[in-house]
Amino acid sequence: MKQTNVTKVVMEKVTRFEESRSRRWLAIFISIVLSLVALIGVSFLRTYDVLNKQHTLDLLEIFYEDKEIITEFWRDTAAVIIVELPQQTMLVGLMLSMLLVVIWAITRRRRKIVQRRLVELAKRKKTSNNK
Amino acid sequence: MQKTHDETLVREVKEGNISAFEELVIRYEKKLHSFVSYIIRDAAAAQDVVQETFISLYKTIDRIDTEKKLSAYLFSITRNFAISYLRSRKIHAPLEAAEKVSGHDNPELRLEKKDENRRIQEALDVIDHKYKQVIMLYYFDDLSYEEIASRLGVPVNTVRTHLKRAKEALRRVLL
Repeated sequence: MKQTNVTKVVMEKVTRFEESRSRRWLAIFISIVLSLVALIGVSFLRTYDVLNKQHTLDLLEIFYEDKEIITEFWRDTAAVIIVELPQQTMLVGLMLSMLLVVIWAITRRRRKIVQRRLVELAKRKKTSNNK
Repeated sequence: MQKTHDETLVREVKEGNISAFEELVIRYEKKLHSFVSYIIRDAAAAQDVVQETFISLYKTIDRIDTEKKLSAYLFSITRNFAISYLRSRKIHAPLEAAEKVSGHDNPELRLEKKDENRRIQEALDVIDHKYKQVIMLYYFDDLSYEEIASRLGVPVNTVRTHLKRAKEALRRVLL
């Protein structure tokens, strides 16, 4: 079907609107994801730092020992490690990780739609530049 | 080639297919333009109203129920935009057009007619907009019940009821 002037004007405005909307959504999404990743990284680094200072990780050397020693002492070793973990920091890290997974899952469909729109917008731009 | 259903196109647009929206625009542009032209009697302004309608449709397309007829929704929002345009411009096109066509040379008669038209227009402005629209499409545009129903996206019986109520309302205002 032939494209008229009204169609051309409408599609230009729709394209501009969609470009702005999709880019805004993507920017917000990426900011949230990167912020969460940064916070998760910080919390796990903090956890590692605390464990390192306490020499808790040295306890893991037991797993280099013989099988009989590991079998006999692994439970006690694990209990000590759990007690010495900075639980609050780890809890925050785990909760943030879960939040990231949830956000990733619930935005899956929306991400596909935004991706499809941006790809189509890019094609339209290329087509209009070639004309 | 079988035409894709409107509802399929709307679903496609919701999924991110902008070309599907272009197909909808091409499909409905002329129909909406004719519809709006009857209401506002200005081709250029009708084009603006139609453009506004489509842009509004795109922005709200995620909220559209694909089970319901798109055409009815589209004509409904077009009508609202046309009415907003008329309100902002305060155009009384049908009565002005009627005056031009009357061809009366008698100044007294012309004045009388002008006064009568003014009273009728004032009465039309007072009554409900949906009744006013039906009166104008029926008496000024000479459309049938079925044509009005199709234009407005309402059942034929609704048009009959609105017309009856419009006449009653006008009678009350004018007497």
